Amino acid sequence: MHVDTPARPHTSTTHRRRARPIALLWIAALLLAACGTARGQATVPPGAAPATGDTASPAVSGAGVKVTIGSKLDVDGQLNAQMYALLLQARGFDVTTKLGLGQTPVLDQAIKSGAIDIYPEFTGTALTLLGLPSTQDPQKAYNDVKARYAEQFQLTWLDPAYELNDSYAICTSPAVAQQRNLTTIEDLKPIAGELTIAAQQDGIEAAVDPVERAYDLRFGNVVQIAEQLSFDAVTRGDADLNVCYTTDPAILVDNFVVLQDTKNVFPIYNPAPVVRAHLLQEAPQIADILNELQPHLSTEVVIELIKQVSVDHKSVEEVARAFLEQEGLLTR
Amino acid sequence: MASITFSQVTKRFPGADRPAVDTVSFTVPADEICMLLGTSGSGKTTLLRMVNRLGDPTSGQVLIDGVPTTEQDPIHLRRGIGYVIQQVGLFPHLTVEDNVRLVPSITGEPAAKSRPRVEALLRLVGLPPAEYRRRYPSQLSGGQAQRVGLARALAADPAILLMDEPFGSLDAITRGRMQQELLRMQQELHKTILFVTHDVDEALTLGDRIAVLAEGRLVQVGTPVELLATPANAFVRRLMGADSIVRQFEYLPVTLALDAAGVRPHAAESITADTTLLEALLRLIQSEQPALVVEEAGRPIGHVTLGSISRSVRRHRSGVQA
Amino acid sequence: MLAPFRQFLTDPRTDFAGETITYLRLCAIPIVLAVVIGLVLGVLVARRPLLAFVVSNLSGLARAIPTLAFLAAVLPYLGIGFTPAVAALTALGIPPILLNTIAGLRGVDPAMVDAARGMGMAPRQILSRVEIPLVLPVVAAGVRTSAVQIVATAPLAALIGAGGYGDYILAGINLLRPAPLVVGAGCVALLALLVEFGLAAVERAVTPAGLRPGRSPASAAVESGPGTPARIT
Repeated sequence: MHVDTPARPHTSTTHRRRARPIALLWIAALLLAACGTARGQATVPPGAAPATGDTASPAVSGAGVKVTIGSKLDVDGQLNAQMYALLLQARGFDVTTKLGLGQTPVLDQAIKSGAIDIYPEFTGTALTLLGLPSTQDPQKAYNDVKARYAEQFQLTWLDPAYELNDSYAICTSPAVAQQRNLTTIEDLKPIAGELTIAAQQDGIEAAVDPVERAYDLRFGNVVQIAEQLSFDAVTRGDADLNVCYTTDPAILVDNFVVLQDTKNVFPIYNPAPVVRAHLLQEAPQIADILNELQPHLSTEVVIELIKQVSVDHKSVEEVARAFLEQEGLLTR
Repeated sequence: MASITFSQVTKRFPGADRPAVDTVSFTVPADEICMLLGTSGSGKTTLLRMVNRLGDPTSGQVLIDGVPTTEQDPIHLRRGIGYVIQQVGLFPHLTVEDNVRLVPSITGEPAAKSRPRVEALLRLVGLPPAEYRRRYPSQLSGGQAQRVGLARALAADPAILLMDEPFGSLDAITRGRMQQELLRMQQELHKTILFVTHDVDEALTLGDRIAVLAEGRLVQVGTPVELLATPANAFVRRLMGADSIVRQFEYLPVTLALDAAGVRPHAAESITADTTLLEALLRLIQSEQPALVVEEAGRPIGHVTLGSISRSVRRHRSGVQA
Repeated sequence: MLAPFRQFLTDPRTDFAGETITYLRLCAIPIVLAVVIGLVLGVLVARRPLLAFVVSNLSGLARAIPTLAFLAAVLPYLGIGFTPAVAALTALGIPPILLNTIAGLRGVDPAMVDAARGMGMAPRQILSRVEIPLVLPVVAAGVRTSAVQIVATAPLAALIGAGGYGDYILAGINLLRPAPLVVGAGCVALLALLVEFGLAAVERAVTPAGLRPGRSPASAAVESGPGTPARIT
């Protein structure tokens, strides 16, 4: 199961540009991941504003209510958080954004400690954080995490974007798809033994294993490689298939073929705003404002938005604003 | 026992507008200390380095005991010639002992065999072996380091010693002490020493012979007395400070100031012929005698008085100015 | 508390021995290559000031390129797996050795070499008895820096399919599991420390006693520094 999806550019130039932050973040992640999983230990990032729950009175408009919105490093998460911010800002909330704050454990601790009030989280990731098994059932995933978060952490899960599933997939280059005549994972069954699949370390457990079990096949070889480099590996012929994230714009740019998961084996990852319950008590209208966004999001829409950021180098804010305006959620 | 002869030696460096050394010819007799005196750029170091073939002449020859150095293998030649430089150039990773026995050791001599000589050399240069043998160069003062440098140059018992401003970076007191010790050692060692300096006092103190160089040319070669008494030209006179009464008193021998009137029997005290004018003057004042007998090999050859010294100096000054 | 670690280490798919061997190879081969290339290149350019300037600046520049960027950049040419990882780590390891070799050779006092020649040492003897003993400690320091860098950076090789402890670290981060993360990071840290201390010992061993720091000039060295000899003007 994947938790953090780093920005996934596809060209070598973007790799070079993106590389340093990723390398540096590793070190931070090494430390923070270890701390973060130790229960009850608050890790407040320096500079993070304390929660502001008691300043303004509940009001229909958000005037005066301070809200801090965070996100993980991945473009998907940043876009979601930016949209929340723009929507709340438009209703008069005093919004501070902390985009790209860190990896999952950092955000988890940040919201529990009150350093941030809202961040977008995937249902599948929250299951992992809770130590629960992953599931292919979106409704069950959502219900489980919503109940647990409310009970254990006083955190409220608003409505998820059911049409946006940032999960794993098995894909391949158009050349290999054509040559091997591949459209579904089922097509792999007779030839899997001859194939090499490239997967990031987390993709083995979250994608390769379930596929091998459910479809009763065995890949000839598995190479562990960074997800964003796996497209190049397939294009070069170092691998025949790769485990990708369903929102990776490289799928669009390189025309990769996502093999259909007819048996529905990949765990579900729907994003939803996670909000501190205190804030919702103070400003309950936040729920309606953000819930309004969710039906507009889908995997197809978001992959295009991510591409605009990581391939076309537009800013997250620019892309988020344009999308909200286009959808009529934000007036110009 | 080795003489060094420079025969029409010229050295040109590529790109230079004049030769660094220009047709220099003279001979350094065996067992003498010959000073190469000149300003920087006069070619004295270049001349020195042609003796051990760290640079070969563009034309002309350097001969050691009549044999051209170019007929010898440079490595073999150098091992028979001691070499001391201003920067000392001790090896910081080796002890004093290992630095000194370097030349024997590169020819394969075992340490045990060279040990007694190393100790003798350290004693000769005034460093008690027990105290200094195991030290490293970083634990030595500048003067001590140069003593080790000298011991190292003497390790293979070379007949010739080349010294390139060896005391140039020492303080005045240490330099003076080192000069006196070199003279003391030379009385035992009898090396042929070629010594580069730009310090006139050093040249006068140490040199049996001084070769004055200017712009690559040999201007004058002679004993200190000859250079002071009869400088070849205005340059040498100015260089030597030949006009200075103090310097003349300090270096000229008393024999230049003998009274024409012959030996006076009542002169009670005698001095030797190699006494300097300065010493003679001091003795005259101290003894309150009107005259001193000058003896050579125990035999009186004349006497000096305040008047004869005064006259000789006046004569000498007018002579060199003429 | 320790159960997840035990479970992780006993899981046959963890293959701790195999990954350890992979990681050791992933470190050892680049270290050896970097030493050879850095030394040879350093000796070749040290006496040529212009080349030395160009090479040392280029290699300084190369240090600024993040390893992951290098991995991504060479992927189209070298592909994935062990070879490109070794190439990237070697490139990372060369600069400290190269720069120290150049600095070490240039640090040898020319007066000392002149003295050595003047005493009749053959060029080969000057190299073996003077230059190498003096340069070796500096080069050894470069090797230590380089080796520690390589060991500490080699987890990134897991990004291009070269395996090793990086697989544990990446899986730990991405799967939010402390056990593989701590085991992977801990092994890397341990190995880096071992290399650091081991090579520091080597460095001390090749440093001649006379060059070791902390040896203050003895009290007997009382004569003062350079004086002011009478100079001809």
